[in-house]
Amino acid sequence: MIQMQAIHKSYWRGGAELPVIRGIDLNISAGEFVAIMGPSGSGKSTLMNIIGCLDLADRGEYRLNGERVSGVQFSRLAELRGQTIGFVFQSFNLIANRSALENVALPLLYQGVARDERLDLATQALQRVGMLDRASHQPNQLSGGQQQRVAIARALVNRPSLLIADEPTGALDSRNGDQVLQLFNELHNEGHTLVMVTHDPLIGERADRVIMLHDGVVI
Amino acid sequence: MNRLRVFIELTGEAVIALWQNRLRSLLSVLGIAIGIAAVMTVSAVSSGGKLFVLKELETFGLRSLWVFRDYQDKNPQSRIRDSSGIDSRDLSLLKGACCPAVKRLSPVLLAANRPIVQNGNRYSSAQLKGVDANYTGINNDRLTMGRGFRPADIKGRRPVVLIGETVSQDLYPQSENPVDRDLRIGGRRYQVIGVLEYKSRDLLASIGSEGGEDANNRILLPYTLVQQMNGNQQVSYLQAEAVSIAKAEQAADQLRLTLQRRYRGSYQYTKITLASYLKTVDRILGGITAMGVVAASTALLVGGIGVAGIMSTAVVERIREIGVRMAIGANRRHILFQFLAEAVLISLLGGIAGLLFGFLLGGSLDLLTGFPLMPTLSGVLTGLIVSVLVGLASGYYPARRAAGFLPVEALRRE
Ligand SMILES: Nc1ncnc2c1ncn2[C@@H]1O[C@H](COP(=O)(O)OP(=O)(O)OP(=O)(O)O)[C@@H](O)[C@H]1O
Ligand SMILES: [Mg+2]
Repeated sequence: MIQMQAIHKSYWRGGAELPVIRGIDLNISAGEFVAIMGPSGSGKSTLMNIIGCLDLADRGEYRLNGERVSGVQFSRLAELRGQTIGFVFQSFNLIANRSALENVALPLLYQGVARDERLDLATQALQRVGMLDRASHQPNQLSGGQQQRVAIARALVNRPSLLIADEPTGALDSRNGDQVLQLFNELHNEGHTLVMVTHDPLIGERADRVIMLHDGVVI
Repeated sequence: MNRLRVFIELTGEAVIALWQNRLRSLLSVLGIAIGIAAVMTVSAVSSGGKLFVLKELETFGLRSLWVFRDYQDKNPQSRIRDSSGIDSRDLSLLKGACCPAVKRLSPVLLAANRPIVQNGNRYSSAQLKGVDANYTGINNDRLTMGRGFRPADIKGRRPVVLIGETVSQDLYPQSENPVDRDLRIGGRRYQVIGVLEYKSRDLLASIGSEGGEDANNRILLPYTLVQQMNGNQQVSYLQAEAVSIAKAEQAADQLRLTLQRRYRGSYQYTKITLASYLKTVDRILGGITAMGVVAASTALLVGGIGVAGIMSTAVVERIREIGVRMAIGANRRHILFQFLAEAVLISLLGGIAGLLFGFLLGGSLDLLTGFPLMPTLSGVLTGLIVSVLVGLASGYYPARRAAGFLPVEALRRE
């Protein structure tokens, strides 16, 4: 599903190059649960953003489902994000002032799905994460764990083949975090391909594979 | 089909966003509304003003023209000749093949001295004008009662007159119908055959172009009679009607040059056409309108800058939302469209509010001043189109900025 070769990414700070990803090769097959771990600043988020098509590598080749991501048009990247990838953030990133249901339905809008069908699918997704009873709540009326589950529903609503989560429990207390992890586990068991950044070694143990990053390289 | 639906739904997203910031949206709507209302009012005032002036000029007949001797003749020998340079014998020539652009023509004679005009012990200070049967038609004069001159009245030098409203009031009691009654001019008895309709020339009188003459204080009589009074065959000047407004200059020149040829070396002639006044009016009003439009456009520009400011603020505030939308599948065009739609909606609402405001303002000005303010369909359409354009122009830069971020960049901002 994911094939990466010699991926490089640098940031520029005050004219100086700051290499963050320094030649990463990575293959992830469909249905795998891969945990990415490593110290803070080792480039985990940067790598995830590249995998999730939110950012582009400077060099190297990235293929997603066989398609060369590096070099495609921005509109195709948007399509990939909207159809193939579901992204879960550490900070939930729900849109304020919109209900949970509207938040979950929003990705479908960009795919041209009609309103009734959008709400139908969003309802199903909310049910899947056990948040149907909070469908009309706004993000600020939900706990962190609830918000994250809504965010997961939003990531699932387009039935993506790849789920990506960057420290999804990072902002949650352990009880909420456990629930969210439980959910990811189930999703993996249902056949979703899952790539997750985490600092929690226990999660690492549940994953099929752990990739350790250090200073922008896999160790 | 699906793509179209996305953009329709994004317009809905724009509406929601505006509603969630309704106070702020309202303020920028107001900015545009004031600008559009100002532009509307200026254009309504200018078209209304033009109509107003046209209406007064119409009291002369818009195709009217005047031809008379040029007393400023540079030739000192001809300058001393004491004559109007036109006499009865010229008339039949001028009514002939020389002047195809002339529809009809009337000689006008002013009495050489001012005879006393009276009815018993009531007096009038009316100006006497000798004319022929064409005159009232050319001059756009209508009668409130009685009849106009007939060729036989002119030819037969019948002692009949048409009187203006003021003359009627001066000479006859209110209750009396002046038609068929008598009046005396210089001791001679004349019969009133008709009363001329009231003419408003407030504007022209106020700017002095009427020479202080009251359009309603006049007596028309057959020019042949005035010639008799004056004791010669001269005609003071010619008033004519051109076949069309466009041909007015040509008609006046045909008359002028025919006379000029006939009296070569003796007299020079000059002309005035109402059509040239129309052009002047157009020019003056055009100038006033242009200044007004500049002022009003400034108001609109300020409104547009307001929208641009609001949209830029919105982009900065919602940059994270933009990132989220991109992360869940929005492409640059979607983001661009949503923000442009917000700007255009604000402007369009402002445009509609401005038009309503302009109508109210125009309506109340109309009531206050009696000055007709004309909102035209094209004005309304222009207002709406302009407001959409202002929205596009002011929303474009902020929307471009919003759409230009990479998803990661937008998501990183707090
Ligand atoms: N926009 C940026 N500009 C400059 N440097 C950046 C930028 N984003 C990240 N970096 C730097 O890149 C390096 C890797 O950042 P990244 O966020 O990928 O680390 P991480 O492994 O996710 O860390 P954490 O565990 O703290 O989330 C860090 O040194 C960071 O300072
Ligand atoms: Mg990180």
